[in-house]
Amino acid sequence: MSAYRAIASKIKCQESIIDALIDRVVQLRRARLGETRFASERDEIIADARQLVAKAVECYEAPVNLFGYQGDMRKQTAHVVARADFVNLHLGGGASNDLGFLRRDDGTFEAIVSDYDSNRWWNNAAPRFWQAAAAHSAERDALAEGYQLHRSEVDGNIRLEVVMAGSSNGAGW
Amino acid sequence: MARPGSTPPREGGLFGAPLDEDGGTRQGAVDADIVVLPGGLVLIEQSSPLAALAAFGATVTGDIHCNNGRD
Repeated sequence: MSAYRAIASKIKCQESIIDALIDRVVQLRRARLGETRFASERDEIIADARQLVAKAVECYEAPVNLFGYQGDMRKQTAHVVARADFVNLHLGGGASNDLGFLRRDDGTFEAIVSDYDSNRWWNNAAPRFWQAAAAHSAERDALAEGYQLHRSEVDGNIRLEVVMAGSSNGAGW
Repeated sequence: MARPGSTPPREGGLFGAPLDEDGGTRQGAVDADIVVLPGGLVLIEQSSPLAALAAFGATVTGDIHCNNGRD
């Protein structure tokens, strides 16, 4: 019998949003390329995705306006912005508008997504996106606290096994 | 060496014994098992304080008891 707590993840870490965007790029690229045979290929896909996101995704101290697919400025603003071209090419959009992440007053992020994009791709992508962001956030917290991690994915869930660094856990990692 | 004040690490994992990347069963003592579900709900079973993780989100339920996740 196990006991555990369930918590609603509140993503306050901008880097976790970025990590989740990288995860999305990697996920789509893997789907396009099919099964990768070598770890080096997987590493290369991740490295490419990191570069793409680092170059294209914009981060601001103060929120900026989002733009529509025709270049029209929208009233919605966000602190982290993936422009429409990037969304179309790398996040699975199509004739998309900008995708934004707005930091709320409590420090957590919410996605700013147009109705078109919500129905076209975001609603399907969002569960995995927030899962990735929450996992990355937990990883960052645990590593900052000096823990070691073992990450695995089972049945669509991301599992993080956490051990204090230097402890002998017998798990072989 | 476990963190001071922590309870002894337990064996196994939240949903049964942990699986390694090849799908094999791996037994080991962990300070916490964290399972992140699609959508971002996080399940934590911890045997040490993990202070930073405690601040990571608001608890939305009390303790949940499960039988290796199969019920």
